[in-house]
Amino acid sequence: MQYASVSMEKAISELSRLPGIGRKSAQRLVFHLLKTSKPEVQSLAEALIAIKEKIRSCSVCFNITEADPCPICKSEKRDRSIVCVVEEANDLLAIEKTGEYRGLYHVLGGALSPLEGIGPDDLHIRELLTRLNGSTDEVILATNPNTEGEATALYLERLIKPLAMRVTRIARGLPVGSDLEYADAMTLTRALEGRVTI
Amino acid sequence: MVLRKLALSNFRNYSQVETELSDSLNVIYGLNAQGKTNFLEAIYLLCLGRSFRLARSQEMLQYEAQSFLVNGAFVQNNELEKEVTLSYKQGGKKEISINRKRLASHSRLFGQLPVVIMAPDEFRITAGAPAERRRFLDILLSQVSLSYLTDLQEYNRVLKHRNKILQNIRHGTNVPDAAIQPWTESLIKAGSQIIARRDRFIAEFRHKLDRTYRSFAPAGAILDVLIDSTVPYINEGTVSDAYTTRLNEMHEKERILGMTLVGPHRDDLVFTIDGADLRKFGSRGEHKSVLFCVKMAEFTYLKEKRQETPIMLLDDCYSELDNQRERSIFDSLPETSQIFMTSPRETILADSNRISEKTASGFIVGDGKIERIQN
Ligand SMILES: Nc1ncnc2c1ncn2[C@@H]1O[C@H](COP(=O)(O)OP(=O)(O)OP(=O)(O)O)[C@@H](O)[C@H]1O
Ligand SMILES: [Mg+2]
Ligand SMILES: [Zn+2]
Repeated sequence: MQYASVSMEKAISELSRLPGIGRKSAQRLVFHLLKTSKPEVQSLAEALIAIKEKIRSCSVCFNITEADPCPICKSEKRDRSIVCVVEEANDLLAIEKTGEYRGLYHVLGGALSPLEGIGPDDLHIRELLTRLNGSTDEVILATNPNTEGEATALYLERLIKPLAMRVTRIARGLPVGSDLEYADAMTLTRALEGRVTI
Repeated sequence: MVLRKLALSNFRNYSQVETELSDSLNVIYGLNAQGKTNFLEAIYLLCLGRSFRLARSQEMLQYEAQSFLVNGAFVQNNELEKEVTLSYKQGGKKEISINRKRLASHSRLFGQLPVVIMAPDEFRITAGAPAERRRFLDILLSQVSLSYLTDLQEYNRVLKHRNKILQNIRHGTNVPDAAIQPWTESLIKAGSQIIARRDRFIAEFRHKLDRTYRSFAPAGAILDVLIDSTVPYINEGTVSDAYTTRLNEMHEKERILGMTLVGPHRDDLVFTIDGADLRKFGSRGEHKSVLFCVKMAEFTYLKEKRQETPIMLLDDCYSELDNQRERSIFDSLPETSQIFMTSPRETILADSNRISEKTASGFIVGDGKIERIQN
């Protein structure tokens, strides 16, 4: 069904482009917004713009941040001798939530996937290698425990091993084929504790 | 395990039928194109979540209908009851539930309800392309080992990625060796598990085949099976090294052809009678005998591994056999199992009562109905 109002139609079609939102949900959202007061809608719109204007990725670890470098990279309290490599910023958040990990991170921005045309140059791998230096003792490979995450870990292992630092892979305490983001904090904590040198 | 009750709605040519079944021998008679095979297809579908005719759900949906439903009441050896429901709505995906609990994935069904089918369609196993024999292996081994299934899924995914890279190379993209290396490692890891598992299987299976064939075929003839693999197998410890060596040997060729040339996805099974390759030299009757023995061996293998008696489905399977072999079929039917046997010949019921020790319950299918013959 098409709405008589062009603005209405535009709002619906924009919203339905978001992941997980179909046309029906988009309609419901738009009707809800119509009933909402103007300042509230304004503040929502500003919040959305702010994501694009203020948030960027940390030039060191590629975590999403407002300040560059990000609070984790800047913090004096973090252990700078350990770097935990994850696929996405979401994975970093999941590990942070456990409260158990005190080292630094590196966000790759995905995993190797020839089928989707993602090769080593499409990930932040070169930046990772330049980051690693004499003060790094251990690199934890915390890519997802699925086919692509596994291959990415294998690739990184080959690159990092010659740099003479400990390379570990989080233990497969995680259900096979799952995403880090969805693992609960307990499982993640156990996986981090049980990591193995590779 | 036995199936006590089966209900079909809008499945193939059955609009709405429900029938109770015998724990022993069920003989189903009906003229051509009346729904005998469809009936067995429904039972197999409940056990494994797929059609043995490789039909897609949409093809099993009755013409003009919106959705179909197959429901069966199984009782396992340990007396536990399992009510299995499989439903499909046009345009959707089939959904399976056991005791009203929906399964997250169809593969959860594997191994729970062992079944063996012997049907004309199954001749692809002895006579078809290598992929058909791999399918046979994979379905059987997945029912026995969940880790086999996981390795297989992993392997197939890695294979696709790796082939993609090789294709890119073939089309002139410059890919450093380091970029294909992790995929090769993953391939070898999952692939070696599959190879070792298949080999252990064949070592056991050969003996079962041999034993069945001896009681079945002319005295002295020997049936054997072996795996024809691109990776030479000595023992579990050597697989991944042999795999690596073979891949290295194929390094150039893989890049010219743009695909992975070594691994279990190229395996084949070779059946031989007195050393002669069945696929090249076998007569039709021999194919039939071998297939029957393969199925009987599959039955005992599944039964031993799962500790559960499989259901045996025999679709129109004794035409074309000489009298002696026909009798052997009845003789070698597993005594304790539930059997479904179909035939377009009205004499089947009398035949089975004459030849078999089992008391048969008869059914007639026709006009989209199935009726139990009172005797
Ligand atoms: N999706 C469907 N909807 C309705 N009818 C179907 C459907 N698929 C197949 N049929 C019908 O089912 C009949 C075939 O049934 P089936 O293969 O079970 O026959 P059969 O009794 O095994 O015959 P035969 O003795 O020749 O093997 C055909 O007449 C076909 O038209
Ligand atoms: Mg038929
Ligand atoms: Zn940072």
